Amino acid sequence: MLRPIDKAIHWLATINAPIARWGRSLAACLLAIMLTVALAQILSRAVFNYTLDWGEDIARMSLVWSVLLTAPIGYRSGSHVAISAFAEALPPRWLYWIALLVNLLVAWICIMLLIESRALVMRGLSITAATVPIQMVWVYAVVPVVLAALVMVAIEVSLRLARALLTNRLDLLLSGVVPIVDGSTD
Amino acid sequence: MSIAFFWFFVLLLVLGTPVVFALLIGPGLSLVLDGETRYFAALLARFYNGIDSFPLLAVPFFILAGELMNSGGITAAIVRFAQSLVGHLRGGLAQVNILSSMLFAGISGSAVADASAIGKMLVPEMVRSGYTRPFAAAVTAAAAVIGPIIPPSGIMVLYGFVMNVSIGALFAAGIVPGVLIGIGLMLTTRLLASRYKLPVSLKKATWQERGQSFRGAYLALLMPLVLLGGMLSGLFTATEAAAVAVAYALIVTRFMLRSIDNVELRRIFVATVQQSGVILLLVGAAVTLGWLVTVSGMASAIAQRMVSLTDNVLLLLLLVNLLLFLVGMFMDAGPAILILGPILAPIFTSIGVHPVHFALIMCVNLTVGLATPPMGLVLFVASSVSGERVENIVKAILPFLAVEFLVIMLITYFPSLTLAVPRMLGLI
Repeated sequence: MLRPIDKAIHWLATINAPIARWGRSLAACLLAIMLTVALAQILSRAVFNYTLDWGEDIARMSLVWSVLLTAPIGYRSGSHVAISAFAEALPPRWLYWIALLVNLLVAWICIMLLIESRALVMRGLSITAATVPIQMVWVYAVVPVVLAALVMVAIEVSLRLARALLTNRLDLLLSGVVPIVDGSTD
Repeated sequence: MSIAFFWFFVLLLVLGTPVVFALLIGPGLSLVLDGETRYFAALLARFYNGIDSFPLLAVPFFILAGELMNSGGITAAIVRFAQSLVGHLRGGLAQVNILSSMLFAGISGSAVADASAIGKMLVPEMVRSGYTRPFAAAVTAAAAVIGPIIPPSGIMVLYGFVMNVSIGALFAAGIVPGVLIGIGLMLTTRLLASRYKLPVSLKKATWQERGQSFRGAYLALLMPLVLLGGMLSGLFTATEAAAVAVAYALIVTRFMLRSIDNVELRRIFVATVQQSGVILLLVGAAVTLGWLVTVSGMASAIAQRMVSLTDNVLLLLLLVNLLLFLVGMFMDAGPAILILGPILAPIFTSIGVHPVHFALIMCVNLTVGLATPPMGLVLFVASSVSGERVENIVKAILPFLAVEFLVIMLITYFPSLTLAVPRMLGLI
């Protein structure tokens, strides 16, 4: 019973960890782009009296990508804000059962939104950004990618919780009801 | 659409679900229960649109500017300057702590950054000078809440965006309450200093020494002036001001002081995207909540219920302050604003409270909540940097919290305290 769970956890962690970290690194690069664009806009307007009309579109696209790309690492590292006072007061076994239920619900909502994101991406095929020749499909594409990554993380943490319950080793480091799988900040 | 989403959301929140997921799962379960799964597309669209906004760029930029200034050693320069001004008074290091927080507030806009940066520097020094550890930690936590009140302010950017209120006006409106809290805390410290015989740790600085310490800190102290000046002159918007703050912090720390290398710069960028990602995902989810609150008729139902309790605006404001104070004890200011703002703000603006006035009541109250037990984030930071137990800090912080609650009451019942500056600057 435990071997397939361990294999699945190992397999998911091997995929999830690099995706989460690459996502965060790419998000940091996008932050640099946003900053450059915002400053270029001010300089262009103040010095050359010329408005960079494409600046806002590029900055917004970068922001959306940057924010969404940090979602998987935020989940794996337990960084998302939660009220943990009540959960921590529960008996450990109860807490683990609730944590398992909640993380399965996270997987469920991400799957529901992932299904809906197909229509969003398809719509992007027929829309081009207002000021730059970029098809919106490229911008919207980040939504299903991130939702799929979140589903994988949710399954990974759920399996870890299930394993802890099966083996009765309730020693996972929890942030609210999310096991902290990735504590790194580099 | 039923309001079952709200009860699912509350239940999930209590169970410790990350707020961003609770804000999506609650409505999701409700849609399934109501047999209206076609609205999932709208849920996703609202979430996406909630993030897809140019003004939100200010959030990562202000975090980045604060991180750069903090890592670049600017905090030390600010503390030295504050020491030269008030370090010689009885209880002088406590006064330095408060004044440093006020000056740091003009740079960071975050109470946690403020408590961490100032606390790490001053708490050990205060303890060495004879202050009790709980008192040193309590002063740090109480003063840190000034961070998001004096501009720039991360939570005001969030409020302005979600509730469609001018961010420039909110920044201007925060100046008087922030200074009032600072002065109130300094006066309380003065009273406590005589009563508890707090130590005098430093000799009075000469004007020459004050000049020297000012030269070390003036670049940091200029930043809020550059930002406000730029915004008021129309040179840049509030969002662009945040980018200017980053450029300014980069020039000072990377090129003038040379206190940040490329490795540290990379670490700061990575830490910033992770912090701001958490906040902005919450913004996206909160926008969906705001939409659901409106379409389900929940906002108007609550408004009717509140107005049926009493039509006295002053009493309603007192009740909302008590509610916010209670919420602030359990929830971080940002999520609380994002969740309660769309519910409460329309009610109070509809009964004649100015949007900027209500915004400040909410922002100041929930920010003070960061220093209240049992879930005050700033209390935990103060506990971590001081090594003191939270329950001991709580006892020591009570006089300071009383002052902060008094200021909340003052700004609630004297709207001109918040509205005068934005009116004077032509922002409202």
